[in-house]
Amino acid sequence: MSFLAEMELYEKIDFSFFWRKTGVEDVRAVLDRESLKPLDFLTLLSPAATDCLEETARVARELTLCNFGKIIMLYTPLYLSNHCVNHCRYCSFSAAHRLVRKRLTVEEIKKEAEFIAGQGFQDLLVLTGESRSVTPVSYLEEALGILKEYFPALGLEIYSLSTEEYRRLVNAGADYLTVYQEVYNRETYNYLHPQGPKKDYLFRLTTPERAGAAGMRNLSIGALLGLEDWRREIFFTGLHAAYLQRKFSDIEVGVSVPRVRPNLGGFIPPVEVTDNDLVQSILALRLFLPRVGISVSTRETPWLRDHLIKLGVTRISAASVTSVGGHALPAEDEEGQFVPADGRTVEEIKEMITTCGYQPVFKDWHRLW
Amino acid sequence: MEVYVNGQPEAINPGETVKDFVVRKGLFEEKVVVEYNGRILDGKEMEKQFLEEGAVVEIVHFVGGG
Amino acid sequence: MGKREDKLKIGSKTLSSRLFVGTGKLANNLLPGVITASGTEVVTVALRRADFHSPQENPLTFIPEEITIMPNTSGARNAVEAARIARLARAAGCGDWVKIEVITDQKYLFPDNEETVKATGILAKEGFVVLPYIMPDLVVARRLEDAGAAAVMPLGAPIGSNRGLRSREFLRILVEEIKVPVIVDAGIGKPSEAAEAMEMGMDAVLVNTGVAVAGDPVMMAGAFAKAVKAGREAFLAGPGVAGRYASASSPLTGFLHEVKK
Repeated sequence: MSFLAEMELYEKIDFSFFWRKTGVEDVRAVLDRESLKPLDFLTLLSPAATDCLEETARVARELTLCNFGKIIMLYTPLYLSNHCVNHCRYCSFSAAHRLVRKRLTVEEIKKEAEFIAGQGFQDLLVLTGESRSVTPVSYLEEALGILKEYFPALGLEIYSLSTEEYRRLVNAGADYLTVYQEVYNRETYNYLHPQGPKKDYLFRLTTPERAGAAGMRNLSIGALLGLEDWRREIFFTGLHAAYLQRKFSDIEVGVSVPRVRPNLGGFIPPVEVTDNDLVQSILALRLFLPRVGISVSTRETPWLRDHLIKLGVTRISAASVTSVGGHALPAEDEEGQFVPADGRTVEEIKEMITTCGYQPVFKDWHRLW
Repeated sequence: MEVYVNGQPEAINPGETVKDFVVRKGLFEEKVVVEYNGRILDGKEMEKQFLEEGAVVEIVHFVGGG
Repeated sequence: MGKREDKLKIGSKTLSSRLFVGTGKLANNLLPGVITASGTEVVTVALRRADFHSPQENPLTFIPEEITIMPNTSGARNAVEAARIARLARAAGCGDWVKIEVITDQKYLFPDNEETVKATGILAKEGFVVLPYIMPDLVVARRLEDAGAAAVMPLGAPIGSNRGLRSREFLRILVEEIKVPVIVDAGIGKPSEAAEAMEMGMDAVLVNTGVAVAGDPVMMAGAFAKAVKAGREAFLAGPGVAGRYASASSPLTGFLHEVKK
């Protein structure tokens, strides 16, 4: 069954009815279960589960310790280009917005790489907007060729490609792919992506599968929280991750839980996602998918991120710059994709993690060829 | 004339068929399966197959097992 | 799956009993009693060279016709031999079920997973209903599914260890991840162990020595039947809540109630 078919099955659930009927005893029953089914996951996302957050947190912490130990992986993003032909309503880089468009040259990529590697990072997430003329696959191949000399692990968060194109990038040095569905609700997706290739819902939805088939060894997915009912969106994110894990048993699957942040264009998320909601989402994901990595970026404040370390998060970004380049040579006049909330340096983040009793780790993988 | 049955040499009479041999050994009442030079024989073939010099025959049957 | 219609489908058969019985070390004259008492619908037998000097009675004469005979390939040391035994067994005319048993370890009698996967591939293509006996290994079980196995039969414990389901953690994982029926074989010495296996979600159990060496095999077969039923019903009923999580001491989520800094 394709993931779309699986989604369509679950979309038939009367979610309001289910959550109205879910009580605290149902949540506790799920907490005692060894292995959760989708409806157990849905129970953990119910309003009733908000009253059991502390108990859920203890189970989540135990599971995370068993499966990941006290390790927090650190990475940072490098935006190569903010040229974009899409008109996503929530994103600073939308083609509709006037901002200084830039693409890093080979020299600039090298400078950024050197600086970032000098900070200690060994896992770099490479991002671009969508533009086949400015940042075609060949440009990405070239960039990866340069960057792999500096970083043992390279990830991509770029526009959706074909399997063959992903294969080229895997051969050029890409290890993992991060691609967010943004929103699983089809109608809302269509509304938020009025123009540009990203408009194609199904192509976006099947992106991780093409990347998996092309040989990426890790796939990270997620929904942008605030665009739709977060309980439903996290539910489908979890189902999607479980689907990918079943389909590609040898690939590591990860999820992210980004919340909409202040952005150029002033898009205001229609759904409020409180810190409580975010914590509940992370805990539910951890219980449903004990071995899936959970990543939280600098979209979140230092205060929240510090507490999330103990609650099941396994990967965080640090010293993020969301404008093009901007690491080696700070670009103050450029608008980033979103405004980071956590501006701490790498050293400060490392110290925070250590204070929590955890170990900051920069490297998890070494490419031999 | 000699054939190999179940790994052992057995003397046989000229013109003996597989079925003749099986009956001679007192086995026909049980259900046996015969493999003649690597080929499984059904009932009719057992009656028609003459034992040839040096043939390798396996005669197996069911026993209790887990 | 409704509780009224809790049947086990393997190949083209729909079984009501989730207890399979092995006939090893069991005197032929006890077979009818054991089969009736156990309520079993699947019985395993082995294939051996006929012994001209002491002919044995064919166990099949003691097994009712409607029972599914599952010959095992014991004696095979590799996939080719297992396939050969399977074909011989099928030629004897008792259906196309086969339990693949390839043992190359004479110390512990552990099955050879690699040869078993190969044999499954060969025999599934020839139309056999293949039930491979394996060491509980998820990767191997997946390969067997892909190769066309009708079920998988992981062993519950080293043979003769008599200490219960030692491989229970791995069995649990197989139940969780494998789509074809999972039937535990070997290591079930007592009815309580059969009940435990069924409670954890096994689709069926195969018992041989547990019955054969009992003081009263017919009575023991009846006990196993009841245990399998009990375990299955417990599984279907769904376990209750243990309530292990008492109230918090040092809060992990207390910060959410703090005034934000």
